[in-house]
Amino acid sequence: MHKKLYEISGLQFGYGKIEVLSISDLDLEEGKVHVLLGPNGSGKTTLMKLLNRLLTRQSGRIKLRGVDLLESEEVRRSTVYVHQNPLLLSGTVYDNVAYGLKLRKLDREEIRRRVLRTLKIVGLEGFERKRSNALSGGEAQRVAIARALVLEPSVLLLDEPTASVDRKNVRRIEELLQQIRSAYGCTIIVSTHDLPFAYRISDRLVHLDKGRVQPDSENILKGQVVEPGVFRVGQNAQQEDSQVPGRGSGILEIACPQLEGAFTTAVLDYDRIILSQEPLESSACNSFEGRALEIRQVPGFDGIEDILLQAEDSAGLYFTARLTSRSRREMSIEAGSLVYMTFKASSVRLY
Amino acid sequence: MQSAFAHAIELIVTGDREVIAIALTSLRFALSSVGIAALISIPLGVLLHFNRFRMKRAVVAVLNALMALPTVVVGLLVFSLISRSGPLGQLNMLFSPAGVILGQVILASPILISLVFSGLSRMDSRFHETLITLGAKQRDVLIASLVEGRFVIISAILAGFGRVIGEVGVSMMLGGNIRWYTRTMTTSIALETSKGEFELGLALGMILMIIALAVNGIIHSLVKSDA
Repeated sequence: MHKKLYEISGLQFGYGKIEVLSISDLDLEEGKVHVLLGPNGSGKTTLMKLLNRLLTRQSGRIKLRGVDLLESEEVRRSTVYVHQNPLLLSGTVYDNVAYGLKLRKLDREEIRRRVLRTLKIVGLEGFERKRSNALSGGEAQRVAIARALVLEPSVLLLDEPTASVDRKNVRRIEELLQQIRSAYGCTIIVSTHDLPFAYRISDRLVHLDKGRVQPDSENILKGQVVEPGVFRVGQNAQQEDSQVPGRGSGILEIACPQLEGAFTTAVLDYDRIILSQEPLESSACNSFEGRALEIRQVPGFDGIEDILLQAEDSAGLYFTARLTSRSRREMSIEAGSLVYMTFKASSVRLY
Repeated sequence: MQSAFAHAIELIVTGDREVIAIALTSLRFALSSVGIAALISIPLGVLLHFNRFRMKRAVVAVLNALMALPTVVVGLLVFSLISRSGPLGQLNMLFSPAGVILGQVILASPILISLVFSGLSRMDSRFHETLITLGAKQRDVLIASLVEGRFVIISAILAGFGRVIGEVGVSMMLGGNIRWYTRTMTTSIALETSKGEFELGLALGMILMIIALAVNGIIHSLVKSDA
């Protein structure tokens, strides 16, 4: 069970009379990649700056590991924010990446070792002596990430890291985020309005619209396409020698659209899953047995409920289905009930 | 006039003793006053940038107005302070290099404070946030701002230098234009022109022009580098 990293409650923030953020309740867990998704002006940057205490909340509460952010010493030690268009200091790439370490008064050898290692991770080996004003947009972005990473933060906040980079470098940044996660194990919070990028990298999506958190509405499933029209979901799905799915395997194969590409994420809207008490005879290719674990009222939507389900065929795989309270009661679905989940292959979106 | 011009060039080329002495006196006064003004004004400009207080806008407006302070007004104010009957009369600063330098410090300071403040204010807002997020404390932010804003500060110093090297009012009223002592290029030009003797004035004028062009050239290249 992941620990809570940030706990946000009753948060209000505005510039003058203009309200920019109003979040009643939001928790972000340790060790995950959280993506704040929303259009320009939805409050993503403001929220990230609040989480890094570059802005001060006007009302409500933000806790970092249980301590109020305003009183937290840890926020400066363990969280770093990287701007959308990062500003590099004058000097070389080395000067930039080493800056934070020099502030912390590390010895020269240790600084050098860390800087070179970090430049290698971000794919800028050999760039140490290059002037910071002679870099391309993608390179500058990676230097800024290296400058943050070299401090070994436990929380990395990246504001629109793909906003000013070309398509090729978007993939590079995705790979980089995976590497950061493996090498550092830190929590990563990313803001973006790039939907495919968001789906591919996120463990958890937070939809923001006009400063408010929208209820989750999508199942995001990690895995890979094993043959055209078949997506293998599960923790072990990406291992080459992963076993044929079976009960307890932790792997599930779902029918999906037949598309070309190296897709790693399948997205299925909550309301595309049909629940029944018996297996459903239909044209839908996907039908699985599941057990209802939890029933939650959808905030802001009276009479609509989300049901958290665990797929019986594969332990550890969870889906959420959405239906009206009335339908749920008519079907006598409660926590612990056995149900059948059915959805069409065409309902699955691949990224 | 043509012969006066030729004679002026001859004074420069032959290194006329008096021309050199006057030019060096001007440079000595200007460099001293700008040096002292910089020591006082740069920290004030930085403090003004980093601190918030109620009357901040009013202070900035007053500083901007003081940038255009007429030199004779400064001369008059300082004269009233350091004359025999003034509160600082016993310091014997009137008609001495110290008096001129004091007046020029007062002249240059609003320019330096104002330009340092406005230059730092124009710095990218991401700069401050970047430093804070990397763990910089207030002192580190100050040092980094001075380093990143070095071109701004150098330009401010040069602008202050340009103001004082070409002023007449303060030098005349507080220095007294005493030969071999407090006679500067500008007071000398004023004197020689009023006597109808143009050669020395022209020679000094040419030197002053060269200095002014050099200062502007340096500021221009600094602005280009900063961009």
